[in-house]
Amino acid sequence: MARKTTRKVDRWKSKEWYQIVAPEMFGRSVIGETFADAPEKLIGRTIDVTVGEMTKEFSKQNVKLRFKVNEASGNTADTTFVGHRLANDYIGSLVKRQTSRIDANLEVYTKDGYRLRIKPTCFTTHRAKTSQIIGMRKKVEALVFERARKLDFEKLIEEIVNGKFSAKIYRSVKQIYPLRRVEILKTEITGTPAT
Amino acid sequence: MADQKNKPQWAVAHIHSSFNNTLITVTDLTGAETIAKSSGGMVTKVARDEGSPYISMQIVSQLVDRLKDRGFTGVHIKIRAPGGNKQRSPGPGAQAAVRAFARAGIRIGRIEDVTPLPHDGTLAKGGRRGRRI
Repeated sequence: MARKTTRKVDRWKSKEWYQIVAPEMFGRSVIGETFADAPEKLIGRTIDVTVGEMTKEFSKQNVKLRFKVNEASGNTADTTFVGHRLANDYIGSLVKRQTSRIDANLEVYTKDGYRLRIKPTCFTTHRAKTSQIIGMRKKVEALVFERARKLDFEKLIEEIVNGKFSAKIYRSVKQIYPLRRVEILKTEITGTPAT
Repeated sequence: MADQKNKPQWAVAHIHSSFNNTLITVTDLTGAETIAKSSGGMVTKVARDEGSPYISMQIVSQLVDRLKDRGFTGVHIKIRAPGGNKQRSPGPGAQAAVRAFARAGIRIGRIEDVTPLPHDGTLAKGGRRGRRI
């Protein structure tokens, strides 16, 4: 046991610190630090950051952005954006009895060729009929596809993260049935343009 | 390391808390590098105490020594119950662990529930009519 611990301490000293830097679309700010004994080992690590921490807005603690390290040079590790998701407890607080929840799971292509999986959700004020739910889902799908086709990847992510995207869905879908809230639960980047 | 004032050096404490045990692993922000870890069995030899709040305080105090050694001053917390088709609420050790971190002078950042929830799966143990005693 004693021998084991001494070995561990030595390894700790041999490790170096790297600053994790957000991609350009998020302003290349330092989002965290990590340590490793070799810079190659950094590649593939992911880090979750809430929007609140990145923008210093405390109201946006529920949106988590996920970054993946793809390059390490010197003492910095560069990242790419690999998706966002809402906190589990926040989703749980939105779900209510006697109301409908309309989920969709869509794979879209942006204007510049990124493939994204987007998961929008609508919460109604009361329970909706199935035909209404189907209608709403269709409308959501059409909107998401259309919007994604028009926008570049960075613009689209920006809209999703700052809530404009879900506000747009809210405005048009509430004509079918009164809505309480619209959120984008999750996005994943499933493909980048072939270069 | 964190030399700036008022800006804690963050780590992540992954707390796995069931009725029978508490396991805490402290990692860096990416979760790839372990800084310190401890569990009920490292503190007590009495199996039934492994999940108790008091033992979880002792677990934390072990961890805090190591953390302070290495210059970490804040932890984000990820609490996890057994999950899956077992309990979804954390055991008795979880609360106590969070409090013990705070009492030991470690800054608490985000607290998050990361219990794995099934999107439907196998039947929970105990049979269709539940456990009969």
